Amino acid sequence: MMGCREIRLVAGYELRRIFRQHFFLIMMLLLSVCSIVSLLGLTKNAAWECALRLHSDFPQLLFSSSVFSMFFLFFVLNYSVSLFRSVNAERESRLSEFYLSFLSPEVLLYGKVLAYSVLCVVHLLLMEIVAFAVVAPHCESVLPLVLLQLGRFSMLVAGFCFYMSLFALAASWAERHAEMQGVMLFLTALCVLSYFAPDFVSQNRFLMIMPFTAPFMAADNLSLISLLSFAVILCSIYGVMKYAGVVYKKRLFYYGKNKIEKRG
Amino acid sequence: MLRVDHISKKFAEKAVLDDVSFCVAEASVVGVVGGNGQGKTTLFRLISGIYELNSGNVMRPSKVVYLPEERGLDMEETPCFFLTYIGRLHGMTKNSAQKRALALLDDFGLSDYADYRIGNLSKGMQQKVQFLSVLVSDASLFLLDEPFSGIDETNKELLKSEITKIREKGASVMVSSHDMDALEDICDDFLFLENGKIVSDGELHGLMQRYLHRNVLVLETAKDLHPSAQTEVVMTCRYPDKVETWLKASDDASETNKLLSDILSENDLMSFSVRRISLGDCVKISKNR
Repeated sequence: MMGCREIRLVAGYELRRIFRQHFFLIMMLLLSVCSIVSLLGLTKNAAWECALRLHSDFPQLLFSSSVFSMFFLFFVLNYSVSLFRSVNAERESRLSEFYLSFLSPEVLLYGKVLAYSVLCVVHLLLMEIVAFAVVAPHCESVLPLVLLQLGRFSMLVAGFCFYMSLFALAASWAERHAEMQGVMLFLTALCVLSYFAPDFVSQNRFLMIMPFTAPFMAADNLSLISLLSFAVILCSIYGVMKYAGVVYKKRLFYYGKNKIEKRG
Repeated sequence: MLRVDHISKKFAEKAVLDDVSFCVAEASVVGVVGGNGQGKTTLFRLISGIYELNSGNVMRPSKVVYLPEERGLDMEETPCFFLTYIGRLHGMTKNSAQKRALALLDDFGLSDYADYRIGNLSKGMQQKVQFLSVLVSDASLFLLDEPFSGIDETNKELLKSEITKIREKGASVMVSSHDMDALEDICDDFLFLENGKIVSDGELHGLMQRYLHRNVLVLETAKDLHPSAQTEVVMTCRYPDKVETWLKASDDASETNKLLSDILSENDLMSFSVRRISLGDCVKISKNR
């Protein structure tokens, strides 16, 4: 498909930039995951007994919807700032002016969203590995858990891509630092409100398929409606990115140039 | 080939470009000349598709690259990686893009800096890397906005020879620059922009045909030259404290000497010199008329 190769290249470039900037943090994350898995392996039942003493229903807690939703919120809040800054850095450095002569703005933005989605997937996979490493030796069958997590995983990644596309749109639109902060605050509040809304949202089917709340609803209850909401999320991502491409081009040279009104 | 038909662009009711039309043939270099704020960069951005047209039509080749006036580089990357990445974005394989990048870096004397951070290079080197990011592609149309700014004379010659090579490969190039001497050496044609319009290029092209690279005698006097001393007057500039007159001179030194002695016999000169008319002089002559 036209543009797929370029999107992959842009995503690879962005991942390289992220690793370069956050090398230390990423190494610490990998190290901590390896340490936890090694500790569990070494201590075997001792760690499990300790966990059960802390919470009798520990396996359920590890895979509960609230924990899953909390991690989703964490991923969105954590990576959105980085994505926002990456888009604005390109606008400021005039790199985007150079790229746009032979690439469309959608390719640039899709590449960035893809890069952060890959990061989110890797991050989540590592956490799932740790969780299954804890639970698997003590369960008769992990297959139901795996299937449940696969469904949630798909919704989380789709929902994450949707929120990232919203932040990409906001970064393409913002003209000044103050606007950036305002938009970031708004989108963050939207995400946090959606996290706390499932009880309210579950009473309304229309709200259940909205892309803002669907990932949190899927964490709570996977059903046929989740399939519909998955499709809605994918369509929303396409629509938001299409609009973001238009805004990106239109406001390319506006960053930092807006006049500040004089105070009388 | 590039064809631009009656394009206009406004920003908040201010017309930056107004009814501009021209063609750029294949395998040619066109210089875009104009003062600051006359619409050169806007023209390039319209052709490359960054700006939307308000009216008119642009028929451009499929592969266009644009070198912006304000340099855009990833300061954290190395020149080799950055150029390879750009080459791959243009459709090259990784190996061929890397080979091309290293060859270009070698041509421009940057092979020792291939793995340095771009942010650690000097401004001139960064300019070269930016120029190479355009060269790494095999585009049909190159739009170069002020490629010579911040470049020393040696590298300017290198850039000019590369632009000539691009033309020899069959691509079209549009170059904007305030350095008219550089443009003179490489351009096949010129576009003169003033207040968003193309200046009546017929008159200017006529002047160029007549005077470009010809000798001229430049005389400074307190008042206008005595009428009998005037041969073909190219231009007269009147200042508060002097009058500067340009007279067409022959390539033959003895004829120029005779002309000078005739003038000296009837006029008091403050100073005189012989010079070759450049492109910038032609623009000055055109404005003076």
